[in-house]
Amino acid sequence: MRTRVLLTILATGCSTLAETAGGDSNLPSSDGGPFRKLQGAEAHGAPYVLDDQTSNYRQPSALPIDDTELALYVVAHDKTSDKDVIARSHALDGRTFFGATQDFGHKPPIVLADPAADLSHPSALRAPDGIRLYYTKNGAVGLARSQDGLVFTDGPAVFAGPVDSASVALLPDGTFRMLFGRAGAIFEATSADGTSFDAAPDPVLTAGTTFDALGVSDPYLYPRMTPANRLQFRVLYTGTMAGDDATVTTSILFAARYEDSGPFVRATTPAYAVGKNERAPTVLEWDSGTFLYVDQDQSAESTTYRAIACGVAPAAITLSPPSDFPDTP
Amino acid sequence: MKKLGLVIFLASSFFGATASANPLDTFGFGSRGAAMGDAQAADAQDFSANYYNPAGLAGAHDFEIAIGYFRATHELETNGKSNNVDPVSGLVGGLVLPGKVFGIPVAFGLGLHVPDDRLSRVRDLPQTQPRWELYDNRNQRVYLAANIAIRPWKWLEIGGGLSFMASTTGTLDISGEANILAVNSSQVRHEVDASLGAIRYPQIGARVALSDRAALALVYRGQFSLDLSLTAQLLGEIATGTGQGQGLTTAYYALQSASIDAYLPQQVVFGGSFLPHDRLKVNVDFTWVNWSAYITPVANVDVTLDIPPPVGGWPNSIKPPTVPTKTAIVPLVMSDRIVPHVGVEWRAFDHGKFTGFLRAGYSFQKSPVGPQNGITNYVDRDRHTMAIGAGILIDKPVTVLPGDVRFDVHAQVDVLPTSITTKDNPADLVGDYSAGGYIWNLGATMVLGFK
Repeated sequence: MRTRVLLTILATGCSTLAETAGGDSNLPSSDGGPFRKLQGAEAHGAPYVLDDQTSNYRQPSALPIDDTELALYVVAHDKTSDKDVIARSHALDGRTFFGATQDFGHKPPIVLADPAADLSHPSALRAPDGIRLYYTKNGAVGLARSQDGLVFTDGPAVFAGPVDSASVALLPDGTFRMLFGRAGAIFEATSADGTSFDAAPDPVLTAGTTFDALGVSDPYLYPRMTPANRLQFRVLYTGTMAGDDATVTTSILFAARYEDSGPFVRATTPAYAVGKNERAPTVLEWDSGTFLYVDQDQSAESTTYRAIACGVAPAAITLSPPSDFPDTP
Repeated sequence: MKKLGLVIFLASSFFGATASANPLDTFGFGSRGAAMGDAQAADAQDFSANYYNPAGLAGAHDFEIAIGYFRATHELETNGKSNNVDPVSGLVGGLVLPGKVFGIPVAFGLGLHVPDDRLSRVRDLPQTQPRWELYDNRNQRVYLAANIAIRPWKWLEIGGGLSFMASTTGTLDISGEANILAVNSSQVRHEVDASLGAIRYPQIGARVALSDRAALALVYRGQFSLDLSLTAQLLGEIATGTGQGQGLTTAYYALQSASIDAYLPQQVVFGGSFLPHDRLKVNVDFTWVNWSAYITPVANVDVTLDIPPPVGGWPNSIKPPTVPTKTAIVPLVMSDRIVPHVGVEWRAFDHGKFTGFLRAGYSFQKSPVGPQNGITNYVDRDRHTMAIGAGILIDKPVTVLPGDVRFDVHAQVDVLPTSITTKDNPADLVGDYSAGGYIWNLGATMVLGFK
């Protein structure tokens, strides 16, 4: 009798198969990676989400709209004017962009152009007075404004430079902060209203010893208030190092600081490294993870060009199937 | 080569385990004990004495069988979002066989907890990954206790025995051929051999009856630590060309992992049980838990990799893998704790055949886990346990049961107040976080006594 009782108890315990173990959901993160590239069915053309040989998309800047919905401003080559312009695309799920290769009949519209100059490094943000699009032109930082994110009115330069790249963020106190790349280092500038910046003389990030031994560039500044109510300045940037066979390789790196000024502390491991000359990061932080957008090498018909690729963190996340292409840019 | 790298990565990450231990330490054993805040060392004289104090078995008068069920649901969060920590649920039960040897009362007891989701669980997590160290993986296992107790004098009961916990061990073997230039056509075979074993640790206890209204108890529960040594071997041929046998080399990869699969700190319980009123029982326990002996649950891995270059050397486009840098393990610092437990039982009514009880309990464990402001993220918080319960004792409920039956239920909530963990390194990839939450534990037990 007792044996039967025990056997019944054990059989009950053994007769079910366990669910996949939990405990790893919504883990805290600084959203500084490590990111893995999208793969397989996670995106059309994964890991590339915006890919066109002629347009040669580069230097993305994400403008969050709602959870995984975002607008993405990118540098594109305009064949008509033979100039680099700034175009805008749009995705509902962070991965399926208006005007992607598979979205036949659509093309990301140009939102900012200068027939006399190449534009580069867009940096979009939402301010109380509307959407601002900072960009670089002839080594200076310009500013265009918009209410809908599609039609921009250009204005005077906000920083004379010289800069190679720039990223502007709105801080919780209403002031603006800019990180800009110059000659292999990253510098900082401040502004009360975002229309005129004062730069600090010393760089806040310089070449390191490993993944960025040859220099740092393309900063993407995305400050946040941590759960401990500390203002954390976070930056993703392009690190350049020498490869094994004297080639130059790049990777996306993460650094941060808590102080209002001064040097950044770099993370010990790359945030994203796929060996495709990845550069110019930007991110979209949403409820369950973070998307990273970079430009990296893509090949077609023996030609190498640049395209926008996407990574995601945490690496173990399971993404839902991609959504339909949006109807609007 | 990507395939080989993947295999090496998987093999590296397969072994090692989060420390695990005893579900009864967290959720109690049986509804009566759980309802009284687990303050049972000087009081338990039914099947639950198999866990709380084996000496109490000697106080049993009748043969007794108990069976019950509980489910503990975790609502543990970081940054206000649920981490979906698995619930712990399953059957509890036991028996008590009292008798006499040379006129001295003796008793034999068995206690059992069988999870209804999984019998055992092993997880391997990097030391940087946040996890609820004391709840995430720790309580997912089978528990069995066998004890014997005697009462040499009317005022003294002594008992002891062994507890058995399920543990998992495993090996991984990989062999085959990987073609670097056609990875999809590679044929790699793997074999995972996992086994469910048991480890045991001692427990002894004594109970002294000061009077009919007061008793004291002292209990010792031993520690256990299961050293988990695992070996993975990969032996295979790697082709660096597409022709038959072209560019062949043989790769040997061996991984030796040493970690702790299961660790339970030793505990000493000092408890008292008092009857200040005919209808009121008050129990108080103090449990010393030797958390400072906790062993860091991170695998120590040694790797051997030998891949001689193929004839003609490696192609320019291929870079052979190197041995991964050994992880520097940051020790998990924990502190000993004295955990107070208080429980009360009110005999609410006594109508001949039926006797009813109302119960309540409280315990508090200050988190033993040290500050997590470095790279490790063993998440834990102080724990306040509040419980209520009820029971009804029915004397001779049916003619075929010439004893009694007792039904007990309990509801327990653990409150882990939310607090902030801050990181010293601003570039920490986890960053500052808040953590806290609740654990809800509901259950019922039926105890059958045979006179």
